[in-house]
Amino acid sequence: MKPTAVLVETNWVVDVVAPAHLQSLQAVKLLSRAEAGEFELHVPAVCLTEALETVPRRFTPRARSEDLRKFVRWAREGGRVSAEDAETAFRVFDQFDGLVANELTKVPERMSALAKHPSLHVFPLSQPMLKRQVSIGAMDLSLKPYDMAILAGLLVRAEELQLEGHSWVGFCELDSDLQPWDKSGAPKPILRDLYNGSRIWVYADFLVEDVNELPKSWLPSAQ
Amino acid sequence: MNPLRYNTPMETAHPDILVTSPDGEYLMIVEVKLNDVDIRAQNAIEQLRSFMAAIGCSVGLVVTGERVILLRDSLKESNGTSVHVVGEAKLPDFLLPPADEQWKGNPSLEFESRVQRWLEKLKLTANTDNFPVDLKALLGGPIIGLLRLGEVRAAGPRWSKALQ
Repeated sequence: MKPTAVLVETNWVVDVVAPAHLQSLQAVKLLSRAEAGEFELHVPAVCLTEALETVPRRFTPRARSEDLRKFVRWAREGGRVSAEDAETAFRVFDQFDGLVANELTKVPERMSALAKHPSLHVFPLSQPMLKRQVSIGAMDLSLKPYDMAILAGLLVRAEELQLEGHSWVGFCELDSDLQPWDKSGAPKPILRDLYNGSRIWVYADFLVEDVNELPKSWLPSAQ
Repeated sequence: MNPLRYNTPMETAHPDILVTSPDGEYLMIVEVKLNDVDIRAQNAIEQLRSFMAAIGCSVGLVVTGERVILLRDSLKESNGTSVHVVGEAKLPDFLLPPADEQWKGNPSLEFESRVQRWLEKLKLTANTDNFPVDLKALLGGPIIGLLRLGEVRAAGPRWSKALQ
């Protein structure tokens, strides 16, 4: 069984709008699958804003190519690498430095295209979502306010999707804070119950694979 | 409310343990099999190879019983064909700490938990003094460096596996 609607949040957006050579194939494929009609794809609008800040921070190279350039120069001077190979390497480094800088300037443009993508449903945080944020804020979830807002948005959106005919929804989540299991793989009971209550199946990747066994009450025949 | 089995896909095997950077980047993925049987080890290598390519992670470890195998992707290809086995070493049982109490009674999960705790300990201490020579050579330096950079986590809910 696969969901007919899938929720994603900031980590998916980041992986899709990253510099071209660093984009996640899984994340990009998820959008293609939505485009092909396999499922609807939904993301809170606030995640696009958050991703705009995250992408430059995460993908600006930790060290540009200086270390590699110094290595190649040293190797060429010591006769370990031919002058021709060194020249090729320097051309690649130039391309790398230029590409990354150029790609990062394109992030806002790419984000804007993503926001308008016909197969991506971007939804704003509504009043019911903000109210839900207040109610889950009183629970002992140890979440940052931003994650709390996203969680509230996803829970309410999943319930709205059920009213539209989706018996349950998938949620692709790489961020450990919003996954309903801890680092040892044990459940986080409050978070798990919140997802259960809104019929959200949490995946730890963007593969959206078949699920072995859903709770009977989630299945269309049980309604 | 009934406990749910999150993330139990039917077809594709998934890693058991992840090492992720503070930004959520995959630094290393680990596939754990309780028994050291050749065919299972080979399957685990193939599964990990395809998963490394799918998520763009260039370092993988397969732990099968008392054997640890290191895989690395040179990233020359994007379909997993550039993932190669770097080498393997014995992983003596005495190196593995006891399992987390909650997984007691399920040998596979106990073993996964022991391997995770071993990696967590290695991250904290970076001490390989009591490692056999081959294991020290295989995991020394860069692998311990990755562990120190990242967080060691279960790749998915273990309680769902316990229900299977």
